[in-house]
Amino acid sequence: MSDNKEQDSLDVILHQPLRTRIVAYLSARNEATFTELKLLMDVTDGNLEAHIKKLCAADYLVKHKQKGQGRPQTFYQLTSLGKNAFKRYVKQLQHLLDI
Amino acid sequence: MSNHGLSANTQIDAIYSMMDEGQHSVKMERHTLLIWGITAAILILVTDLIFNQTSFPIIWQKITAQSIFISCFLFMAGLWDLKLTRKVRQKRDESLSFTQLQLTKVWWFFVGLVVLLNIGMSVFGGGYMFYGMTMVLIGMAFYIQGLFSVQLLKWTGLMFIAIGIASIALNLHFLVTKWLTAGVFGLGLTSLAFILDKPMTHSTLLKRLLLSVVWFFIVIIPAVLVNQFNLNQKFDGISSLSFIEYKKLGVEEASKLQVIHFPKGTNIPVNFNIDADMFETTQPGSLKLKLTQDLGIVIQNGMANGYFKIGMSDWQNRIDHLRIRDFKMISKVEQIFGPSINIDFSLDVK
Repeated sequence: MSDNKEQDSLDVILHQPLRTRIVAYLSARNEATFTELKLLMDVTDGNLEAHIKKLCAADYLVKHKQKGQGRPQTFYQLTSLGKNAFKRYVKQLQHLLDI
Repeated sequence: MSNHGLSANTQIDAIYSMMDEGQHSVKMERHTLLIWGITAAILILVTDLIFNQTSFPIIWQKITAQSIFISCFLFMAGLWDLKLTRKVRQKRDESLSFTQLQLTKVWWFFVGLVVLLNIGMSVFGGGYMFYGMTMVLIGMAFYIQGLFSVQLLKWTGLMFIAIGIASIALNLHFLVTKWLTAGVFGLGLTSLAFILDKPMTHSTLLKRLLLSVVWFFIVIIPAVLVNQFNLNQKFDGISSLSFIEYKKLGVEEASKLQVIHFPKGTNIPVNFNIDADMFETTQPGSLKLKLTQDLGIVIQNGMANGYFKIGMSDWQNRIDHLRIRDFKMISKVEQIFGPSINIDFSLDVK
């Protein structure tokens, strides 16, 4: 019964395979570009964009542009809200699995 | 419930896998290995030719000029590498991760340490260990890089360290060590650059060992060739003169290629001139060391050309690179003899 409560409180934004992978990768790597994420996740542009938009809308992800010699690059980074939500989410999963 | 349970398991696996991917995401570019490998090889082979006893007779001038030259060369290589890396990353729309930027600083610390080691050894001695130590230090940097990148770099680091330690422990000839180091950097890093992007994640230990053996044989080629060249130098056909006979030769005759033979028991004077901060030399000292075996020295243009033969052994080459070990200096004041300084050390000529 209490397990059900824990599961119900799982973060709906993070409890989606692709979004979990994006956030986990960024938590270890600090920041990444769209292309890097796309190559790693092996998904289409549209699919990745949709999930990134959801993460940005929840304020879990922030993007910033960096100008260089060529066209500007867009980087995605976890916000502190996103980092805390991810930590909480991992703890909940570990608790569920009795790790 | 079961849906959630299953999902939790999968999610945790995915998280671990992605975090691992993120932590090992530091990529070393092919051009980085090429730039640094070729730069190091050039520096190793060229520096001694430009900065030597003849061109810079005053030691501190030589050290200063050499250090400025090496630092500028390395700095230019570093700038070039950074510029190219940024360009390549931007072209591929990839980022330079935070870890990568920190690792770049670690690399600069290690490169700086090599420059300092060169200065330290030029001032305080032990220069014969320089190339071995350089390989060990750069091997450590590769190993650290490998911790955040592909396994291949960790493996390369271990190979560098092993070759560096072996070159010191096996008491390799200085010239051979020099060419070995040039080979490790010039050929080793260049060849590594071409297999860097190949997927090695699932390679077995046997495959890695095999690859390491092939890599090892590639990098030792220059050193083996230099060693072979030294061993192939035969002076047995040249007539051997005693020193008394050599002294009697005319200037023209004495400048020809010849071997002077010093029999066992000959006293060789070792002249020394010690400079100290609280003493001044009253008169240069001289010691007589007695040969325990026959010695043949090759003379060319009236000077020893570095080749010599001890007893019945092969011809060897050693120019200005003797090894001093077990150095001991004891200063004491005795009631009868007064103050004295005793210096003991062992000299390796072979």
